[in-house]
Amino acid sequence: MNLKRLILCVVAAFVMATLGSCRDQRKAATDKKVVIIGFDGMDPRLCIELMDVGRMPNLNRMRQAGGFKPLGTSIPPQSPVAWSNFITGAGPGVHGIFDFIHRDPTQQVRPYYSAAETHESEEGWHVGDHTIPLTFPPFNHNPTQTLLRREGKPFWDFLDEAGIETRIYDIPANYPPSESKHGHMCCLSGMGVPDLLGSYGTYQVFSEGVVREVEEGGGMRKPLTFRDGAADAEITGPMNTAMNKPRPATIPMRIFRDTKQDATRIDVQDQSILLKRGEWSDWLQVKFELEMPSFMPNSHASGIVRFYLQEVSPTYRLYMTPVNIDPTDPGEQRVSEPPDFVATIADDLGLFYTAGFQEDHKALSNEVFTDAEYHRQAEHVLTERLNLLDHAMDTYETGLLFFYFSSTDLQSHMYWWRTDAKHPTRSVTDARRYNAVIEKLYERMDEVVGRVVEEYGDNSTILVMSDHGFCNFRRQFNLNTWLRETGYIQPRGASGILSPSINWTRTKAYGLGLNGLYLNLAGRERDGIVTPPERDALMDELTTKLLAVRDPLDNRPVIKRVYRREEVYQGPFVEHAPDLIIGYHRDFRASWATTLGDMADAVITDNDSAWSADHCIAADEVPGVVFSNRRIAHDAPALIDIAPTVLAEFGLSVPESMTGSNIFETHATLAEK
Amino acid sequence: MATLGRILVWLGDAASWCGSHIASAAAGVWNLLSGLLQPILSPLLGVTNPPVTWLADVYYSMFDGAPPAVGLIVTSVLTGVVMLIAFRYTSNQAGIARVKDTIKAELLAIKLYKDDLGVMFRSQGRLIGATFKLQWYMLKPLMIMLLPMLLLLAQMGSRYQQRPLRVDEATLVRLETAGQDATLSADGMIVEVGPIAGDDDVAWRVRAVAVGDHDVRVQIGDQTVSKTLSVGRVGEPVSVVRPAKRWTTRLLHPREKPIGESANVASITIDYPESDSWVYGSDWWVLTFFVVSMATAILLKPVFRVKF
Repeated sequence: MNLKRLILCVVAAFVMATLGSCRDQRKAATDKKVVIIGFDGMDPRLCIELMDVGRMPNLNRMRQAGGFKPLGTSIPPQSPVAWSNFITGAGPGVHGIFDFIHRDPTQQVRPYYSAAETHESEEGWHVGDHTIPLTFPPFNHNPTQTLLRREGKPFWDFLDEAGIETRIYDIPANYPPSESKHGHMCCLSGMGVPDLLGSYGTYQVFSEGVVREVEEGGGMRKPLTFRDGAADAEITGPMNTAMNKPRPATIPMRIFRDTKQDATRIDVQDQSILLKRGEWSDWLQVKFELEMPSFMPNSHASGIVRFYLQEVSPTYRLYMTPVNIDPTDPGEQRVSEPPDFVATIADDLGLFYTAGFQEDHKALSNEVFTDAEYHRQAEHVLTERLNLLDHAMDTYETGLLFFYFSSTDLQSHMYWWRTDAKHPTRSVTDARRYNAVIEKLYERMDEVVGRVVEEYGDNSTILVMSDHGFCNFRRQFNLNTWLRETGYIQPRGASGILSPSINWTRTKAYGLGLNGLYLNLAGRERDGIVTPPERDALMDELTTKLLAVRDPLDNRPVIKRVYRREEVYQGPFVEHAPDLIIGYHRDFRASWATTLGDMADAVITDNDSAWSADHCIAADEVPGVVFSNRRIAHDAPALIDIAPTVLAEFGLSVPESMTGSNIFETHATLAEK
Repeated sequence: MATLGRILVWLGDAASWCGSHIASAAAGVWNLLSGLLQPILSPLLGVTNPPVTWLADVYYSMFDGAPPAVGLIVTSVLTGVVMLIAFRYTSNQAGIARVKDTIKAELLAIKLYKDDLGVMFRSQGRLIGATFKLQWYMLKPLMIMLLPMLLLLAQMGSRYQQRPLRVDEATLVRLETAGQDATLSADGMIVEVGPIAGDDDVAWRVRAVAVGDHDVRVQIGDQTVSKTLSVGRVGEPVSVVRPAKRWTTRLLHPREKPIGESANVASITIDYPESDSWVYGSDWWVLTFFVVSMATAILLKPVFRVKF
């Protein structure tokens, strides 16, 4: 017995010593620090302008030391495409993301979000009003699940394999997060994470001014009727997909108003909130009960919301944020890798936005928010993200730290207006005033960079980068209307490519997404008519005609470039790409109707939305930026070069799947290698 | 599968029906019991709470300056020891020893005569009987220890469940009253919004501005009712509710003198934030307490020669 114990002790000591030495080796391998700050949509022209007048001193110091270049963006320059280029070190042909919206040609044009797709469970045990997937043998039903559609190997997998600690915060185009096979990577997913309703952000407005419940793009308006100063309402939650006729779970809410105090009280699930007009509540945890068959316990989904009291009298209006996934209790929703990473952050920081789109731009576009209200909400987001950055820096020791800011993108979309021309929704004075918000935001981001340099500058490589730049969006091009007017979509009375009015047996091409134009190709599209031999000629014809389109308002050309997929993409997924990718001139973009295949009456119309700036145009018009505390030797760095640079910084060789190269080396040096 | 589903749904519906009726019956019994106990326990707690609170404060003053977890663990260990000793002297130790011997004997019989169904069934029957008997022997010490234990848990809850407000932190003060106009005032805090009446209470949102134990004064008609608001003193106990006459509220919130019945107020509550430590925060402290006290009792069982 004693001998056994002795042997056990020796073995245990040996294992501990081995583990200890492995740990030491790993530590030695990861002494290097690389910090990347990703500012979505940071524009090189504005950076240069502000650096020249001394308003961005920290980034200017990097520029003066040779650490600044415009950063080539993706084709098309859309965030999911661009960030996937960054993640994989390769173009869309490798990662398979070509636009926000893709389509399934086997169902002709069924559109879906390109970076992730939810597969509803189609089988299960029918029990009364419910269908329960039995995921265990011998049934092995598939549960409803969301899958990451981005292909290609992310650069952090190589770091993970090499034992290099990697911390990634708010990365776009990585939901659900890819798994860390070796346990060295922690990742909080960003753009692409849905709210608890499964949408990309659905606010709920409770108002006396609403007659019946209305759903609008990005939100819901719900009626309120006060009796003796109190009204009942319901918070809409996630869909109970276990029911044969799925319906959303709801939480009752009681609202009291006090017109004398210009204040309200909201009672929900044993919690009360008191707000004065113009005040935001803190985050509130809410738990939705999802009814299951009576012999099973009900399941739950936890969310978090904030309220904003817009008006008490004469018309009561209460805004509620989209129901974000509760970071302390994400349940089956994987928003981080490892899954409990998000909860450990929340333990330190408290509750925070987990949805991918945090700034509620839809509320501004739908006129639920005023400009000032949107600005305030966007400030909340930024404050939370700055706190998250503090947390990230406090817990980061060595290896890679990546941190992403969405503010530079989603505030620019709404406030950027660098022209004296009339703004779609603002007076000239207000347009200038809100454009100045972007300049101030850039100054604050420069301060963030200053802090990072101060903390890590001496002994680390710092990269500050963006995925694309920005420009005004004044005029919108209705691609499908143009295709209809030029006879490529039939009949002339067709109202949209998803509408039954379209005749696919006579339609040769259609537009979907922000930059995509697809041919109705025989053998690929379900009802395709264009034969492969006709394809080239048709693409030439379309390209010539598109490049000739002029704005009737001032005769300016609308489209700068039309890219053929074969020319700009290489890799195994090229066949999923649009046949032609349209690169607009500055000031122009695909119309709102075009993105989901709709048509308008006129081909070119004014953009009438508060979303008054964009970047989904010709890639060479909207490059991003890359700054570093080291000299950038590469003549024309691009997004695909960042991943190889990171690997090289950690002494890892660049894998064949990556087409980019190290930005700290010249082409000549690379060629020698 | 479809038939099985129907049967399960039917059984589930039946169970839910029974469950809801049992729950409402239990609630009715509890209300009746609570009503019967009210005239006894309410004044009794009015008498016992002040000295118990004083004793708890004196005891916890030993841990001034130490992390809250230290006080929790020491208290849990001491409680384990006291429970053990109390159990020894309030339980029928000889009876428990006999029952445990019976249980051992019947288990042995089941093992030895596993081929003899008659012996097996008889032994199992006797085992069940012995288990009930053991529970019965436990009941007396449990009843004797119940009240002191509840008093202790209430004192511990006031220290570990919630924490005092921090300066500049906001919270709600709620007044459970029969719909009269009320005004709130206090030093060390500002009233930001309120009163706004809900269905069952009136609430104010207040913000702490100074460290200390402040008197929150609520004026209702010509009566003034006060309540302590604790700000900024880490590790200090907080009184979430100042109770009135309900004995359950008096039991769970012992730190403040009950409100006089003439004030027509059922309670004043301050929504203190939950403590956030895994050892002593929110409901974790209860888990820590039971694990440590039970472990202590089990470890020291042979030392004090206690059987349970």
